[in-house]
Amino acid sequence: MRYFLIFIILLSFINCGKEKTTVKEEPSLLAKGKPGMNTWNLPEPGESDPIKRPYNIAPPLIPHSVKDFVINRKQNDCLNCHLEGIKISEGHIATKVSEFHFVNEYTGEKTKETVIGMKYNCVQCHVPQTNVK
Amino acid sequence: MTDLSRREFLKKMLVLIPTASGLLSLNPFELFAGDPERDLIWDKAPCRFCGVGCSVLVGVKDNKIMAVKGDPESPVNRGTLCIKGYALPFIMYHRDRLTKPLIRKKNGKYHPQGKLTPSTWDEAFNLIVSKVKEVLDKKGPSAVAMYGSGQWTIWEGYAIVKIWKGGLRSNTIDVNARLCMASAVAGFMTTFGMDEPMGNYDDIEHADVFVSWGANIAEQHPVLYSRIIDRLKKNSVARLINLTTVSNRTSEFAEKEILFRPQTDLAIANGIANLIIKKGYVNENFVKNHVIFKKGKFNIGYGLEDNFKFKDKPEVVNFEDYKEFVSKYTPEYVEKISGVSRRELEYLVELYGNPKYKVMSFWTMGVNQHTRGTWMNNLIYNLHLLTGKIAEPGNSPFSLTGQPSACGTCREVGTFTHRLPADMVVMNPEHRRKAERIWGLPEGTIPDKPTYHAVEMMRALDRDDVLFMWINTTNPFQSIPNLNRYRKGALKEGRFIVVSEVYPSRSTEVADVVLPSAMWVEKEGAFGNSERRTQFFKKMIEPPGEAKSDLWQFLMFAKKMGLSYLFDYPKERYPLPKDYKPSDASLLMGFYIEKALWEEYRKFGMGEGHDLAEFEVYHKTRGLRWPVVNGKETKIRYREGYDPYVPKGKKVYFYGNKKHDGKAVIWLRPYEEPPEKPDEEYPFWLSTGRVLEHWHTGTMTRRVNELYKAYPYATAFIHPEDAKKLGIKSGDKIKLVSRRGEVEVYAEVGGRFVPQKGLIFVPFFDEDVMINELTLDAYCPISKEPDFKKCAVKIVKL
Repeated sequence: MRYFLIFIILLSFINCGKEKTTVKEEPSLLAKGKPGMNTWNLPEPGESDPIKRPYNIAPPLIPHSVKDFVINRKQNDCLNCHLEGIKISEGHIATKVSEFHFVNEYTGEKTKETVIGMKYNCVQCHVPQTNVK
Repeated sequence: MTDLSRREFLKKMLVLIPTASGLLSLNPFELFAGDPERDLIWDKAPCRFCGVGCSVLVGVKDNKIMAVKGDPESPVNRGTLCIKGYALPFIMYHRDRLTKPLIRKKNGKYHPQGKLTPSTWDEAFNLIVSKVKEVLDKKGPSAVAMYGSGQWTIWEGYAIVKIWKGGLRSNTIDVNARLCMASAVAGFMTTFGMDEPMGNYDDIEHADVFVSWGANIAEQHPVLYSRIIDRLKKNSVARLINLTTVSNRTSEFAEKEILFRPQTDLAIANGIANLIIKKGYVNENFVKNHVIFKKGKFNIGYGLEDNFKFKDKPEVVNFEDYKEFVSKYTPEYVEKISGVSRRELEYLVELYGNPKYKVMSFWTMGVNQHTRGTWMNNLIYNLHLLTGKIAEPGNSPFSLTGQPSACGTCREVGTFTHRLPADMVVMNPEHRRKAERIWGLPEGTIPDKPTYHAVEMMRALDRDDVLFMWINTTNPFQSIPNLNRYRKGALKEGRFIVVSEVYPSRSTEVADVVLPSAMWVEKEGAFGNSERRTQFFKKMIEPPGEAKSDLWQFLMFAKKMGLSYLFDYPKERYPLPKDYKPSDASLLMGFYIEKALWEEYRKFGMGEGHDLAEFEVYHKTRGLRWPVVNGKETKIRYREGYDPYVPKGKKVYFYGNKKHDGKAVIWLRPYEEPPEKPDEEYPFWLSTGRVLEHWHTGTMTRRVNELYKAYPYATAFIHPEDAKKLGIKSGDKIKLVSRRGEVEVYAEVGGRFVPQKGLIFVPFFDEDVMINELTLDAYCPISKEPDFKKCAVKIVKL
């Protein structure tokens, strides 16, 4: 109710000149209209639980910090834990990369030691989530 | 107030206020969890987002998209996607989705200072039509503008070109593709006489060297990047070079990252050409048989003044003239201008020049959004033409397209002020006559003079040469450079603006009428991607509320304007589809309108090198690369054996340049300074761009929870040394100021972008960080594409 009243009051101050109303000047009901900063205070690997996936076959979201993680031609820090699905700490096992990553369904290529080239750049599909509401 | 009624109330209010952040407390994806895939009905569609044109399989249940997966049968993405592709099930379901036409009203009647109020389609169209007629009377057809999109489906673009040029007789139609691909088009036309790449994505699997010129492929064409990575892993000799002004993710897999000062790519390309010649790497045979040399005007200006006009004056010169011209781009000169060392230059020369390396060059906005964008496109082709590394597997100068259908719709259909389908232009009487014949219109219908390209259209709106503007499937009042002038222009008295959108945006803010559009697979559509692959998709779900496809909107508009005769196709020839949902547009017309439009549109390109297959073929296949001749797609153009248009015995023939006996043009294009450089008062360069998670102005992607939380806000990336000198650290709020505007933003030092010293990089997806208020509306005089990568700013600590 309070928001409604504030909104009505503010509406009455709308510019009545020759120009059209721009809602840019009206403060948002939801307290935005301001720039923000992306905050990444995320737990370390092994200190977080998996995030519920948006749908069954969606790429899992990354629940931990990936600061200074490197993926390039020579190394893939994600796979260090996720290729085998190793145990990081008590009650925390790195999710093993699914079968999907070892097959190129179009060419028929299959790999064992590592994921196929087209699925090697993890951050293309997997992203962490900031603490924003 | 109960929870429910408060939510209902907020929903209504939200329609008035464009917001993205903070609206995500309702978690739509909780509805999807737990549904097994096997209950879903799956069908294919090209992705809604970038110009890569991945194919996705869409899983639908009870009229709702439940899941998406990469299409394993697609030759493009081969079962892979990127994070935006995986977010497709959510883009249409945010709670502030527009579902009713809105008209600005006071006391129940239209008023330019009113509030956007839900109304009916009839009311909206009657108002729109009355305004169009008013403006036609007052100022004529050139004052009635359509500003459209590379995200239009092919038949949406085709229908609107027919309405505007054949019906309203106005050339005042242009698109947001002017802001992304115009320089690439002008580059193709001036070098080859025909648009679009000669190679295709399969060149990736054959190339040894990938050079990215100012393109952050890792984030903007992620699936192509993954194909490059695959190639790098399979071939230890293969390598990627990232030529860039900002250190970015594309450098992760690069053997070398070469930073250069903004604009100096012009000098670097000429410098490489010079050394190719000096080191004897020229493919003499190829140059002799397949190349001519031309020189155009120099000091061609920057399009800063209203009504700026430019006409080039090409003259044919010879190889010796060219050699002399590039000889001044010595390694010392190039280093002095660009900062690229002799060693780095010679490294590039060896890769471009040595015949043992197959070279694929990639570029998009760094090269195209450039006050000499057309020249820069020419200069990259020069390198491939001097060495003969063109039109064969792996040797491929590849102009990447940004939008899903800038190729398929804007460029191929010709949704520009000067264009008609199949590379034809309104200035050419034969082209006009051909269009009039296909459209069944009297000779002289199509106006012969282009009016306004994108930036000039905005200027015309400001000046009152344009009084009606319909904006459709794009958000110019966040994305146009020098935004302050043009937002003020749109708000001036007497301007009438219609915006067809799916969510409230910075453009619906300034609209008089807002029309709710159907999105993606809520309608039947077709897109054409970067590699000339046309892909179709069926309607899979109903649009919400009263939202209607843009094609339906155009056909209704035509009807109400008395232009129905433009779409008077024989119903018996095009019965409605039986096995799948007909679109709202087809139901409106009573026959299969998409098919009718397609079959008519095909006529333009047949026999002209733009051949497209019959309609049904595309629904059955994962698309085909045109020209499609005798049912067979063309993988590589201009090369005998691959391209049916190449005459026998000619080996390589650029048939867009028949007047030059099929030879491509090497242009003499110099380095010229940008119009605004950093100085005492504004000591930093400002460059803008995108990030992986967000599409353009973020109206769709910032409304998807996982994408929003992955990258909520735009920040200003600063080099650590610059930050230190100014006493700024990550998370400090700063103000960026240019001569045209200012914006508050948080600084970020480190992270995925590290600009060169003296340069600030800000992505443009955030409607609360309107970075285009600072950018400069200078453009390439040939292509008219604005330069979003270079202007001068200062930093103010807050």
